[in-house]
Amino acid sequence: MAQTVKIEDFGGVYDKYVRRIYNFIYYKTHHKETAEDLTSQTFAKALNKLSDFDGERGSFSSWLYAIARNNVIDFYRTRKSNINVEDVWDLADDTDIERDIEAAQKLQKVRKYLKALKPEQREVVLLRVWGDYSYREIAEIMGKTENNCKVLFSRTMKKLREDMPLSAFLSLLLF
Amino acid sequence: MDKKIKQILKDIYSIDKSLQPQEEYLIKLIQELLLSKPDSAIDENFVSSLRARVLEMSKSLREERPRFSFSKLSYAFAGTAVILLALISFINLPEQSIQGLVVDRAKDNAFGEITFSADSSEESAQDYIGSSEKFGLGGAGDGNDSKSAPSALDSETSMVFPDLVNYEYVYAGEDFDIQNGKVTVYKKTLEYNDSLSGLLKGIKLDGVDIGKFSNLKVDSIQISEDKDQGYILYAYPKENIVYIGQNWEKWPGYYDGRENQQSSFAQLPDSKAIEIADKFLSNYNIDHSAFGSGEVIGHANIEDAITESATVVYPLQIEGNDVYSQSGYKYGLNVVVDFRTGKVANVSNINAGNFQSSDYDSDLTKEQIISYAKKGGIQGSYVYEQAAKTVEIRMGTPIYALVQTWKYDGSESFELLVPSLIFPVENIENYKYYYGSDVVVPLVGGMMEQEISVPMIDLAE
Repeated sequence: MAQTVKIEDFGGVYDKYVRRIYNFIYYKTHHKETAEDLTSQTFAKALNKLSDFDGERGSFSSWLYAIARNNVIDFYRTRKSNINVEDVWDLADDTDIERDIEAAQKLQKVRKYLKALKPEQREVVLLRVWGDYSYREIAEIMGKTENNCKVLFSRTMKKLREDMPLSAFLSLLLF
Repeated sequence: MDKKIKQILKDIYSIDKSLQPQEEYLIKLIQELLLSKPDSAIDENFVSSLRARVLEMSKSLREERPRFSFSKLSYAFAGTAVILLALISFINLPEQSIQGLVVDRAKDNAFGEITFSADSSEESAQDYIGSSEKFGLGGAGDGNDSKSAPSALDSETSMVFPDLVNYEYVYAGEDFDIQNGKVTVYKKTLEYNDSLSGLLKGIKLDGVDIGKFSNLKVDSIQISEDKDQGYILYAYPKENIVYIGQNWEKWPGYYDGRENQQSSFAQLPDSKAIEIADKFLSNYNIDHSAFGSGEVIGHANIEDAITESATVVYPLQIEGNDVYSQSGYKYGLNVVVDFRTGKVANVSNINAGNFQSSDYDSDLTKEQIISYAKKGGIQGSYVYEQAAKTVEIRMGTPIYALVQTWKYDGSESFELLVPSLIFPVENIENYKYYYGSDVVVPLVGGMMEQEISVPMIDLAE
């Protein structure tokens, strides 16, 4: 059965998704003001294009997250003129794009390993570990099956394990 | 070991057991990822501000400002529309009779020319097409940039556009006659509710003596129920906006996605949804005396649509006439009932407001009215040269009602209720994506005569 969303229900839609969308964007931007701006744009675009949403071609949440993801991509590509940049992880560390200091400090130890991942590998890890999303939600967000997401997650964790040298683990164990 | 780490390990091993011997490293890796998680706590002030903007924007979009060009449309309706003329109905413009709300009467034509001015319409259409440049609340960048770069995921968003179709509106109702003369237009007037201001005098907040401030006004209020399945109330007295929604913190399992994962839920019958809405209004003692009885509104043409909620509208009634949105839906106090919880999700348009009235000339003939209806009324209809097919939209006998519109006066906008005929759209065979609802033709002279030039939607955007 196709899902439909009516414009008069958008208050409820907003309540349901605003925090999840904000977190999704924040994990890709590490900057509060940018995340707020892109969250605003995501809901504005969703409202404007609500009549274009076709429930037979995907769920509403998939559609909403696709808008959020594209907003993030567009935000960085237009500022860095580089079609290979999808989010803040793809930027050089000394770039002039703003990031929250607290986030930068917390990410110090793992940044270079997460940075080396492909965007979809990074996304599945951060959604699962940071976001605590279920595989069902991750599948909707990423447009894949639940099983594909499980495989992707498992392989990415394996890659992270392989990429991190023993010395790095030993240093982690000291803390 | 932390429950979450255990679960993540279980996920990994279910796919690749060869990683099990490396558990110690994996645990440390997951711990480190968890420790590196940045604090992404959202600012609740931002949530409230954006909510107000979203609701306001949603309200504006429901007005469905006109975004069509008569000149572009004309060729599309040169076909063979058959008008069934069977019985004669008489649609009399209502006589002046005060019922329900008290309305202040103003002189004739007091609100100036009522048109959909080209400037504001072009702007609204441009906004509708998808730019959100003026919408962002944060400080990061402007939205203009967001349009200029190609996106690798364009293909993902482009999937949501339905196949292109053109609509051909056909009048299939009874014959009717219309009496020319004067019609009454209503203007909503905002009135600041300062009943709370007096209560602030004795309050001290974190060492600040509120009473020392003078000429106090309450701009916004946010009150939440600290109980399970509690609600939250937002009020903006200056704008006469009151909204009640679920206090997400008190709906465990719902907003963290667990409830959302339920794949099945029972769709409630309309009578049950109305009963739930009535009970909510009664329990919270919400005054809805300016509104009619509750009724469920929806897309009747989408037979197999499954929705997660029902909207119960209590129609606003002014001087005996129901108020409709430009989409042809009854407008009034809205109560959304969530099928998943069987409870009210939110309540909006609680404040009926105050109104001024003014008489305007109405000189449209029946033929002119039908002609405008066949062009889609004030909503109009896009015409795509590359449309895959044309869908016939059959319209029934019109009813008389007041329809919302907006007038922009410099930097200020105000709401007007304009006497109109609403042509109900009958069941559409073999096509279930008609979202346009009923067709509205305003009766005030000149409103439909504006030629509005608006760019076509760029579907590739």
